[in-house]
Amino acid sequence: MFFRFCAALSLVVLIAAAGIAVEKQLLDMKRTQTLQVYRLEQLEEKYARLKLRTQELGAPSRLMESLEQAEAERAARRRATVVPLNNRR
Amino acid sequence: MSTSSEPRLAWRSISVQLVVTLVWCVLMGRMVQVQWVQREKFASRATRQQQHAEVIPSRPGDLYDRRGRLLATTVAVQSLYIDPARVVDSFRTACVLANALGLDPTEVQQRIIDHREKRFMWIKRRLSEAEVSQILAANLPAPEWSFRAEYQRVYPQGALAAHVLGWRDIDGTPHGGVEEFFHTRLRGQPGRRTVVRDARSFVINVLEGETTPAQPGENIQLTLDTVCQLHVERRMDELMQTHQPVGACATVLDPATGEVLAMVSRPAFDPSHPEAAPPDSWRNLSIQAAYEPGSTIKPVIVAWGLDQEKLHTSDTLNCERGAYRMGPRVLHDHHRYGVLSLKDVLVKSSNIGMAKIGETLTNPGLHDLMTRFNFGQRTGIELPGELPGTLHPLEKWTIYSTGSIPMGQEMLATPLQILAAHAALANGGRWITPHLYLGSVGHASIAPNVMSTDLVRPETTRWVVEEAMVDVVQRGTGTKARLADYSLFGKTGTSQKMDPDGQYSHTRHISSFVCGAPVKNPRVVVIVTVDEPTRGGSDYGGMVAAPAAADIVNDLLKYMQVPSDHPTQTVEAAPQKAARR
Repeated sequence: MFFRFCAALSLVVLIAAAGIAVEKQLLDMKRTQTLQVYRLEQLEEKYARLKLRTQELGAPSRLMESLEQAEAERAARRRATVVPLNNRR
Repeated sequence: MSTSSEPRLAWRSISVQLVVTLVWCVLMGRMVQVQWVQREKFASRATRQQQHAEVIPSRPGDLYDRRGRLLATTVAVQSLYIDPARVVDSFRTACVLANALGLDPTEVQQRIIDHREKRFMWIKRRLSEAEVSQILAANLPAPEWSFRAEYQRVYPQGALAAHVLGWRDIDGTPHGGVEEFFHTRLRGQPGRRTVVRDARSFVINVLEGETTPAQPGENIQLTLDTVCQLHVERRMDELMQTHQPVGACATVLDPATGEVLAMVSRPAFDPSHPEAAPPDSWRNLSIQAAYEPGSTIKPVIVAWGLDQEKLHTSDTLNCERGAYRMGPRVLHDHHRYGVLSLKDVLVKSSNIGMAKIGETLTNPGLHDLMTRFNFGQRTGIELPGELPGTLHPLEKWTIYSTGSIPMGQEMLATPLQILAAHAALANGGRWITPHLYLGSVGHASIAPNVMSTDLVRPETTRWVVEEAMVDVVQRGTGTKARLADYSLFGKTGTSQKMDPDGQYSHTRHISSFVCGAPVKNPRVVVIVTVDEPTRGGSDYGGMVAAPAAADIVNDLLKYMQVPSDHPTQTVEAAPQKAARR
């Protein structure tokens, strides 16, 4: 009788312990999933900010003036290096 | 003694048993009531207290130009709010917040006190990263405050194409431009998340089974070219400085496809700082200002007359030495022209010549022409607030209309309507809906809603463009638009504005110039419209708008690497260009 009682009790305890283990695993997976969703959001946000920064740095309005200025300086240098005919030896 | 106490004990015992049984029955009854009869009610109350549904905002889609340059995007920012009912020490909280965010502590404290009964109050929205760090470092009691993530629209090209893009307010509501027109596609689908909170409002679980993720908005590619837009904006800024008009606008179309390459309106605003915008800067004059088109309408009238075989290229018209009585009024030209060929009527922009063409076409013919070229109707461009212009019904037309309509009076049109009509002349006679939508990026693309209608035969438009409109630039009213490297066709226009008394003003004009190049295969058509130029010596379309339009064409064709088709003009026109710069 005692042996049967202990066996039944052990069975119940084992089933409860297995249930707790499964529940813990489920919670752990949920936590991992939430973390992955959070990381994905962070990466999307980082991607958006990096894309924004690259587009700001490469914006034509930012580059065009400096390109035109460099071109004007090059043209001025070219003009300066051309020695007038009457100065040539 | 013992005999009398026994029944009493028995009675007591029975009483106790009865009371205990009764109490148990009451408890059992209550348990049945709570667990069974009122189960639904209490379960739903518990769920209400523990579970909170949150909306997950969707990230609005990006806007790109035709070459994939980013025009508008979205970043997440933190906004700070407090729960005034939970603030224990309002003075301390106000001081900490004000110190971290650069606010006035007295004002913050007063707001907290004034909203004591509220559970939510914004302190500051769209915080910088430094401000977020300072708030976190301040260690305020957790239940008093929290951050809320919000999306902020950012325009990496600055104020470029502000009227085309529109802007979004602090709540993400779009105002004007493609932001408003495509809002349903850009906004995406907000998600929903259910969280379980404990008694202290801390989240202890997220019910993943009940979570619907947010769907980001559609990324939309526009027909605009950022570099073209920049060229046009810079030239229009220069024009605004030189002529100091009330307003000005310019639009560039690809005549073969109807794609808008650039659209500029002045005065403008910065979509990142709409609060600093001047009050008259909101209107996109290209589509939201209707004016009498003046002489820019004349090539369209002549093309239609030729196509209907009411006119012939060899026709001559007597321009009556500058004065012509038409019904009860006398029409005048700027110069006293005698007999002019049909081409010269356009080249010299003779009003009397055009009035006589009006008599040939008659009112029904003119009205039919105007309707077919979509005057009086919206073009259908993907922008909100487009004006249809004004074209009176034929029943209201009089003898005045016969003379007025061919010279661009008695009707109102937007610059875009005029440009669309000229694009039809440039592409061989096909009217195409001007449009801004090119497609979607990363989504199944919806084709742009573009209509095209053949209105005039190609041989007719070829004569109007390659003969008459080229001569307008070479020897007519548009000589200021001659280019060194490209052949250009165009038409000037100077229309009088209305005075408050309903009479035409003699001092206030709208100057315009519509042109395209290269002549044989036009790659761009441009319209520049200047509202009431006040400086620069002249307010004629040929003097104010034509140089700007020609510069725009020149810059854009060079950017598009279109080979020069007009080398013979180099010597003559180069000094003009050099002088401008």
